[in-house]
Amino acid sequence: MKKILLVVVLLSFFSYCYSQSTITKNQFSVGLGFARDYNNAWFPRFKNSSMPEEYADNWVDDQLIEGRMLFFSWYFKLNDKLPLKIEYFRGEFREQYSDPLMLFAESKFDKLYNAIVIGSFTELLKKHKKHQVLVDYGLNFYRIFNTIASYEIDVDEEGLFFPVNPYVENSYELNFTLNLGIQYNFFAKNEKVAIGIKVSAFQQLDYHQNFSGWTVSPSISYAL
Amino acid sequence: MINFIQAGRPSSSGIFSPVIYAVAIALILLCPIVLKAQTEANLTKGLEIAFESGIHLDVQELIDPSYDEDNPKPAFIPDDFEPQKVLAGWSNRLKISYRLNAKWSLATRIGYTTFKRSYEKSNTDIYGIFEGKKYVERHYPLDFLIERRFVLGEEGGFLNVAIGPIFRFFDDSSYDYGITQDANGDYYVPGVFPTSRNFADMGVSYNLAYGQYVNDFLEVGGNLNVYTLFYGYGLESVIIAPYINLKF
Repeated sequence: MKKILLVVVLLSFFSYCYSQSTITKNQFSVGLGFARDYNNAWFPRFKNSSMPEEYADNWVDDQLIEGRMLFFSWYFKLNDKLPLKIEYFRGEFREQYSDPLMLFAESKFDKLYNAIVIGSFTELLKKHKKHQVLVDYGLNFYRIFNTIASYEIDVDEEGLFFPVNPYVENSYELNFTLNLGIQYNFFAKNEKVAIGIKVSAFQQLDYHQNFSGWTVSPSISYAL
Repeated sequence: MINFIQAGRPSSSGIFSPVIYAVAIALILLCPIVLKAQTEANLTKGLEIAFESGIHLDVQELIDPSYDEDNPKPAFIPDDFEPQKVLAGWSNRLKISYRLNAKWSLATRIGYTTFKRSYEKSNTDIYGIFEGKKYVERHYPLDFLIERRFVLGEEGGFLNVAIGPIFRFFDDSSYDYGITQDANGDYYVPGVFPTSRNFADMGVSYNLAYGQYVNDFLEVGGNLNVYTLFYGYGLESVIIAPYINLKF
């Protein structure tokens, strides 16, 4: 499934690139903003309460996880017809524990997110010197680090579940996803520096996913 | 539970983290940028936005160790346990400043630093139970600066000196174990529980920057920021970061 998607995306990307003609200069942007992860809200782990019986009744996923996201992006044209975008994201999310027995209720753990996006873009409002709208899309290769405490669950003589052997676990996940972005820039009088806002959306395509959401970042840009 | 306790801890990567190499490479790459002769033209009233990205060193433990002669180790802490002296993290800050005239400007900075800490060198994991594991500690410094610019001649670039109050927001989510004494007087670990902390403190931020103009709208340079926190913290952090500054 992933490979087919990769091929489809790459093909559409290249065909799209050849049909476009956009800005002729390099443009760099950097921004720092907020990110929201809706993964647990959209894809709850236990639909229709088919939850294993050792789990606490009041167990819920953290519906909305908030974090911070930083991005650097570089827009350039490889030749007359091939606009490219390379982007780096770094984000961090703080999530509530929803451990099976609710032993760590109200406690939080951290997730670090690093991603590189390779893709293309198109520029709207080409005739305006002051306003610029960049629509971009690409493949987002990311890595998630998180650190959680966990425990094995055992049953005592009366049939009650209790935790044993707590341990701390680090995990690294490498994966890729689709990335869509739209950026509005307002250029200063000198037509080189711009202040803007960028909205980016990510969606991982697997069933067992870890991250999907969007970010809003105020940004600054410099066009050569 | 006592069999959790393991002897010996591997040495931590500590200060020699990849962040340092990344910043060093960035600094080397910045060097060959062809610089414009410095003019006074840029020093007009207006908005400037800068981005700084570099190493954040937390030197609190180095300067004011947790355990010393005045404050000896509690009995349950093993003799060979030493917390990590210097933490290195990656700091990212946006600085928004308003230039009042050629000499003075007012600035505010927001941003964050992520430290990936090793458990065995942190204060929570004195027995090394979580050996080799890492956790995340984050600082969000917010400072308000008043800045004075000194132009060092036509070719020499300029120095920025700034001072102001800083508010440091802190959070982490690590794990701890309650150390308990049994009937024989031996210490043991009954369990593991998370300790999520959130707090804020304030202090004074001192900033020194050297920069040069690439053209009328863009300047590049290096920034050194140190800050101290009140209530016995003393010097807390040293941040060394290359920066770019855009003039609007």
